[in-house]
Amino acid sequence: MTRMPPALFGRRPIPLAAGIGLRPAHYDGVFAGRPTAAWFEVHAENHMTGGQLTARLLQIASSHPLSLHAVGLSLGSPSGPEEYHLSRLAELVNALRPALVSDHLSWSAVDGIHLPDLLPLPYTEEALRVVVRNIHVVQDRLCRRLVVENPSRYLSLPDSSMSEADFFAELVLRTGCGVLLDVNNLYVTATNMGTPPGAQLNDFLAKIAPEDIAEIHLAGHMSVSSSGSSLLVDHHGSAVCSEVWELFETVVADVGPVPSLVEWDTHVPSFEALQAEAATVQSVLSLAL
Amino acid sequence: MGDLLDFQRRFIGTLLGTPTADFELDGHPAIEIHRRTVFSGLTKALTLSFPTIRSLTGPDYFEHLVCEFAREHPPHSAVLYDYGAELPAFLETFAGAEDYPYFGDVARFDWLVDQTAHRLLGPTSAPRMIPDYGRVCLPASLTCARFDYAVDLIRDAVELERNGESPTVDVGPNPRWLVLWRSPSGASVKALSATAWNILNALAAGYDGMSSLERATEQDEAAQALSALRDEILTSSFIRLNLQEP
Repeated sequence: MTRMPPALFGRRPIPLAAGIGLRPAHYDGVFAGRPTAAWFEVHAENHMTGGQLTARLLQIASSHPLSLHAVGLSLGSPSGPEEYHLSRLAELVNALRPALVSDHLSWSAVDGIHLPDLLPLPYTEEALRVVVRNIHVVQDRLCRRLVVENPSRYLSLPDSSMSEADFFAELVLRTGCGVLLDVNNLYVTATNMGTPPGAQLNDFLAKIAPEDIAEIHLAGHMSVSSSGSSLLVDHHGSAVCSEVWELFETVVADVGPVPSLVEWDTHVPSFEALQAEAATVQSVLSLAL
Repeated sequence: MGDLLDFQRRFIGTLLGTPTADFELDGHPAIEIHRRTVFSGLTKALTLSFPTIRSLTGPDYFEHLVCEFAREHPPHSAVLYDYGAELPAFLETFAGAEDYPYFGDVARFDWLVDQTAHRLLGPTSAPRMIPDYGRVCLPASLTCARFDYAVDLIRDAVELERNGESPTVDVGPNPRWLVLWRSPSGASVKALSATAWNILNALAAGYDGMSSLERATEQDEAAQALSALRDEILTSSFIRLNLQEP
């Protein structure tokens, strides 16, 4: 087992409080000096260019703790993270010095083709070995602990031989990575697989130590009907449903306060609305303080 | 590792519409969800890179264009700012676009504007000595590009139309010599005379000031070249001119 420093190189540590997922449309609000948030999370791939956006994020990073959330490492690809992408991520991490760096338990790339989606990985021994090796590659390059998020899943892959919680427990054991527990993704996956979400959460909490849960996400989802069946889809474009809030309360009661935020990627609300939502998250976290 | 790799190849083939034989998940509703996510992500990315083309073609045709383009030229990076370089050439031969010969140039201009605003920049080139004027520094983002159509005016017209105005613009052949550079608003564009553009293009390619002028005077009168240098280049906001070090 390898233990990596969780946030040794962070410019500012992430407080055990509610944060805000900062999108480019909000940068003006931050610069305008409005009351902000305890910390921000930004998408890594939005800032792997040389434009004004990245220059402005560097300014924000000098005054706010950051969590850098990536989607492009493709941790489940047998060919490993793309070298050019990893080097760009390493440059960004060195420049921003975020407290947390995360990506997803999924894959997006094969044979040089990289699709913009988080595709499902069969939970097999073979996949486990691939992901373990790739997490080591990333952690060695970034010289820090990587945090890995549970994805939303829309189908059960027939070859899977272990549960998602077991897969994560092995990842943590073999790599020392942290876990970004997305409570909405857990709810979506459990519902789509016909598992009671509460039972799936209990399985997760039983197998992952509280100190390994580095961050929590909440988000909205939607229901899609196709070919006579209905699936929940994680779209980050609506309010968090009451069931997900209840699961979040269960997590906080079980593991204590964890840096948490609500993700939005479509129909992104105003900065003020995000602040109000963060206050709700904070009220839940405060119950555990 | 063979099983996982084979599974992933068949999964992506199914998403892109080029399935390998007997993929057991083909037809599962989840595949359609992932397919929609992939193509809507690519459409959003290419809408940001090719806003004029999307306006000119309309959203439905543009979405169809993106789907066909993605099947032939799938992305190779998670950073979608880098995706779409081949779209202008693809568009020129795409069904329905043959009657609009300026589309290819407009797409190339859209791409150049986006790249000027976002691409990673190399180091700034060394200052060039301009006889009688001093040293000039060119921004690392500066790009000189020549077009057969008035792509900058077409893009401006489309922008005005988006804002409710009804501009008219000539979409016939109309050569433009343009220079682009990064600015706080993203990318700035300036149209130059052919003479000024030739001088600036030579400077940007690494020639010193005298050589650049000489190259320009191979095609134009020396007086005309000097006038273009003075009136169109040295007065531009993208130029830093150090008069103290002639």
